[in-house]
Amino acid sequence: MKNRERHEAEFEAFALAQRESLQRFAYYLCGDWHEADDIVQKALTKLFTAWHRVELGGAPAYTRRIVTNVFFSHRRLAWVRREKTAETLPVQAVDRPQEEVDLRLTVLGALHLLSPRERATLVLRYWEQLSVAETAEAMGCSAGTVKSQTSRGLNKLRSALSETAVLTTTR
Amino acid sequence: MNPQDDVATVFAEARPDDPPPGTALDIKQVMRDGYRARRRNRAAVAGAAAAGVCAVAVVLAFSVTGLPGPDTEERQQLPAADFGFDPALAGYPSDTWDWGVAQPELQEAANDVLGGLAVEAGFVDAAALEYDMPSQDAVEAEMAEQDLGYFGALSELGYLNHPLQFSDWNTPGNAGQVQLRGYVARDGDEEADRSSFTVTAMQPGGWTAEPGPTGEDVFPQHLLGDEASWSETAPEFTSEDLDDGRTLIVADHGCALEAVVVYPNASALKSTWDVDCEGQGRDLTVEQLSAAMLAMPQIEYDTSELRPITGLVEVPPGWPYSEDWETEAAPDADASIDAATAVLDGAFPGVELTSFQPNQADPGYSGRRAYAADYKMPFEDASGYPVHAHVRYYLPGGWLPGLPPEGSSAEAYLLNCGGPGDDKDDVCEETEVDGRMVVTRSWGLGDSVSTWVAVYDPAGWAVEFNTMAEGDVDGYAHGDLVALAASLPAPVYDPQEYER
Repeated sequence: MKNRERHEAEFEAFALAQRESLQRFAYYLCGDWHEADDIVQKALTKLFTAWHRVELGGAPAYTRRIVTNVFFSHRRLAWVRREKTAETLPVQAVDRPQEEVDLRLTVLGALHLLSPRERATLVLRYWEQLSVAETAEAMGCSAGTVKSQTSRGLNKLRSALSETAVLTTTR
Repeated sequence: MNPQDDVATVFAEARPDDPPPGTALDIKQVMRDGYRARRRNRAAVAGAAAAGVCAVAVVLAFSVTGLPGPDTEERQQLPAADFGFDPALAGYPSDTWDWGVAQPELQEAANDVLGGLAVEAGFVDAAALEYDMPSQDAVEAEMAEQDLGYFGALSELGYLNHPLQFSDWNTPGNAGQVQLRGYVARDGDEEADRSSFTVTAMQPGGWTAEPGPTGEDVFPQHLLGDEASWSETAPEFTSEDLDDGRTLIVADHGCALEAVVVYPNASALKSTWDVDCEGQGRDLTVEQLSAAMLAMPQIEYDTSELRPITGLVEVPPGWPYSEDWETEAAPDADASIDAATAVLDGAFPGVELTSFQPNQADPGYSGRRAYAADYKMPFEDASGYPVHAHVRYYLPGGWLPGLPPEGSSAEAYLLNCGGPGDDKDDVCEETEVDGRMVVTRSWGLGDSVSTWVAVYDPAGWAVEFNTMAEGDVDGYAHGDLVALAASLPAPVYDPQEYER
């Protein structure tokens, strides 16, 4: 067992260094900064519980995996379920004047029409820029599952975005 | 390009770039919550077995007590295991996660036998054991959909941590070279610091039923501790070898009971019961516990991954937690840190000692003893943030010098270099300064670089200096830090006390 003080110092340095990127990642998954904070707080607590077993080199990937799992757990909570995904995109997503903002809000809205696993897969692959193998590790699943979730997620995105103004804009 | 042609590109380019709007994250609170959760886990897994590490011969006053049980004359030998190697010196692959498979026979028998015992003795209400479970189809669907194992799927469905509900469990053995595997069930009270009862079904591999010092330091691990833990006196052991090949061992702590049944197939079942250590007034006798344990069946586990260890890692034994140690060590720690501070202040006048303390293993465990000090350096880094540094003196015991050999676990070492998948610029080096081994480790996150320097003295102690800074700081380069760590004076301690 490692020394307690050293554990804490290592963990604190890691958590401080990773905090912002974890918050962003959690936000990409859930779409709410407050919930993102809650997810990251829980994930870091779980990480600290296992810190003495965590290889420092693999800690970022391991932490993303925990964040992903906590996010999935959140989706199962009743209060989150009340915010069940809508069939159509939010109106404001296509009403914003600036093209870039328009694109981002529309895509963000479309992202939340996907299942939590599909959403996590796309976020990890394209926004966190992980490889298929790294995404599989973060998701705790096989590379094949990542590929199928990616394909399914992109198809849903394509379908959702095809009805929006932003996708008909030539960039 | 029409974005519709490449939805993946559109998605990738649509990544929001707003910064997080402040944060409510409290890292200190995270660690406090983490300690609390860890205490619960440890209590459940390890019971309260004491963590003695003195290499004393275990003298068991085993007495055959004629414990109640099935009629041994009619009992047939249970199926035995033949692994071709000693399962005590073996374990499972270390890269296991969510490995467990359903053990319906174990769960069912535990519900009937140990559940009844728990209710009868006043540990849980009968109603608490009557919880709904998802159908096998629902679990299998979740496993397939989420690509999870059985217990991962149960957790995802929200059906874990009920009273006496088993989940898979593993723990590192032989300094992390292998894992021990089993299934653990507790009282389901997540708010309690320690479960009132714990049942652990151990798969073959990596453990011995012979009482001894518990914890992860020794290998094979002892299922039963031989020192005082639940009460102020060491437990009294009784043992009985049954004709069917089983062995029952009971440890009576006075206010708590532990029992282990070792089966011919080299698996075991252990249970720990806090009967009355805090005046709970529960009612459980050795005879009742023995009868219940012997009524549990031998379970056949998948041991296909069980393999012998490739070499016994001998880590100098650590130190058991002692309530008095911090107080007793305070004068030596003060003197050691004063001397270290003087050296640091000589190199960087104005260095501020922000905290220091003697440091040891958690209660109930054995581990390293250290003098720990934290400093605020008298300068800022390139980003304008104050630079902090930490000094740790490690006294002999509980660790190995140097870097862990490639491919092995870092559990026994003070410093570890990043392994496969490391996405930091993690660089480690083993060198020698003035005849002493020095290990350095540094890794960067963005422009920030963390550096550890550990100096190992032939006398058996080590000192570690670690710090984090962004950009170049005059006189604080890697080579400067190595020289600084090597210049730190020896800690004050009694070498004779630490001769093992």
